[in-house]
Amino acid sequence: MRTRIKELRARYNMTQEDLAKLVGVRRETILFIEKGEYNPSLNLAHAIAKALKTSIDELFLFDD
Amino acid sequence: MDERTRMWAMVGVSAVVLLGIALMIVLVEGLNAWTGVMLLTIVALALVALALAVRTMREMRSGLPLKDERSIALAMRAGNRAFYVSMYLFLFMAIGFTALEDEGVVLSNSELLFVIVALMGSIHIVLSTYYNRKGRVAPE
Repeated sequence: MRTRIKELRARYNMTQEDLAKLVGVRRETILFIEKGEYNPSLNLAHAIAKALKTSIDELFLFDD
Repeated sequence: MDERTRMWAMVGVSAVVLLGIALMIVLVEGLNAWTGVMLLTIVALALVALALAVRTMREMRSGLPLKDERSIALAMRAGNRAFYVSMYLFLFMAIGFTALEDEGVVLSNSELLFVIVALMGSIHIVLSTYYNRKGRVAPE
């Protein structure tokens, strides 16, 4: 799984910490989601997508 | 109870427990090489706890939560693995201590209990750190 979180964060000039505060998680969680090493829950994925003004399927890309 | 109060309550309870154990060791066993090792371990544990508390305070001031879904999943996985690793370790220890008994080395019940608790705690800390750095907590 790949994500566009980093790209969208850059678009909105947002740091990992800013995004983490917005969605109420620790900074490492955002880091590992960006690296594709942690699969977030549906609720968290929804919160991140909302914070980055996009949808879950635009944010998370699956290679299938 | 908010996170700050809960953290200070945990620090307080841990300090009282560690101090109680240290006092009990000195009163029951007296001061010797073995109790010295136990007291040093307790001091090391207290220092690790203090370092964690300072880091936690810094994180709390930055406005980030102390726990989230990933950290809870990590703690659960580390706890689960620590339990199984400890079980196998204790099995080997039992064999080792039986062999040592023949050599005349015998640990008292309180010493054995201390070794078990210290080992389980240490294994949990090591595994938590490992999983935290590894990142992946979802099934492979």
